[in-house]
Amino acid sequence: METGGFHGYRKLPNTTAGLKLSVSDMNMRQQVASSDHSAATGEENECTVREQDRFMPIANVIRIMRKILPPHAKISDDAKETIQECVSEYISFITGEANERCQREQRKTITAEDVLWAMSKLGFDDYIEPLTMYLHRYRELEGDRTSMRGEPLGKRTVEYATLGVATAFVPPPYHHHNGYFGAAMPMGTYVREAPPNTASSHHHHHHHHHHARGISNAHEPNARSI
Amino acid sequence: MVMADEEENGVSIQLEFPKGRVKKIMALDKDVKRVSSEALFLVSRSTELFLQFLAEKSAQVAIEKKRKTVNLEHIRVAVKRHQPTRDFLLDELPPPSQAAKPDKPTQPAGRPKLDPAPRGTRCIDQFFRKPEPENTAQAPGQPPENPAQAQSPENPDQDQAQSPVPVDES
Repeated sequence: METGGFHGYRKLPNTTAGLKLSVSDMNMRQQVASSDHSAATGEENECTVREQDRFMPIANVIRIMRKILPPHAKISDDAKETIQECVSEYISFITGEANERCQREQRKTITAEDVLWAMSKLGFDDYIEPLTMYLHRYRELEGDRTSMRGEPLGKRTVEYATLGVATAFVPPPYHHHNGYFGAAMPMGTYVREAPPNTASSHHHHHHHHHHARGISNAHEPNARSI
Repeated sequence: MVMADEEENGVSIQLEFPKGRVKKIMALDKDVKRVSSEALFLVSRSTELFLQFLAEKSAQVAIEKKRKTVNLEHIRVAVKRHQPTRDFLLDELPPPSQAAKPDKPTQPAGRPKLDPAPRGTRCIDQFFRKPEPENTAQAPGQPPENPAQAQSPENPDQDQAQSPVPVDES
């Protein structure tokens, strides 16, 4: 049932380098047959995407629908398949709009603000209020985790180890972004200067990229680095 | 483990959808480079809200038609009643009384579609003949700046069926 999703999580704690990979790199690693492939095209990635990865697991979809449907209601097989496709289409729809705003402002990481903006622009205004509430709860939880991680004031390796242990399912690079939001920086003025990233599929080059970004983060006003 | 972790903190932000799968679907767009964990969380949560909305409206349509089984036609009607949803979904749904079209990229060959019954057409006619008072209760969404409302000429039934829909006014 949820093997596909869990499979994605299982790989993260295995290696330290794995924890530092970005979303695109993780996906490229899983999809591209040869890890030495220097430039995998989008089409090639799409060809290697498994069909089950294009849709949400049907068990999750049906479980959520059951909570809404009357107790005696049934769902036909073609309706289940169509709902699966509708959900994937919705994710791609929101993602495309959020990414468009992200790129227009010359940023490379889609943020929560981009997602909320996409909701408003695409007509799903009713979702903004509940999503904002959920986001606040999410940040409160992350804040608790951040304070726990802030105690060990040691070398960076120690911090990374702690990050890995405390957040097994969320790669550390994302927590850097959470740290920014946790520091109450104005969302509208969030600007991230990242070194130019070329040939991201090369592991060695990618590692260097992350290292440089780590250094730049150390100079940012970040509660974690104090 | 995720659920246990959330239970320990006592904060109810439990996600129904696996984040890894949502991440993969988001990454199908090759332009998407990186996604923060907060953005991933919001997309997962909003997808749940959307699915709940779709289930609720489809169930309402099924009840109106005295059915206990939600089928493809009920989903299509539910999609048509909500302007933001129909803007991006209507073209993706299989057209009535036709098999899955081979040129649709969202329909892999391994997932053959069931042909809707001829009575599905009657359901569509019945719906449009009776104006639904619920349409006015729908929350009006903001019209997109670039609405993709151009209908495919291969779907004359959809073009014909959409003209009397009063949802656009709400």
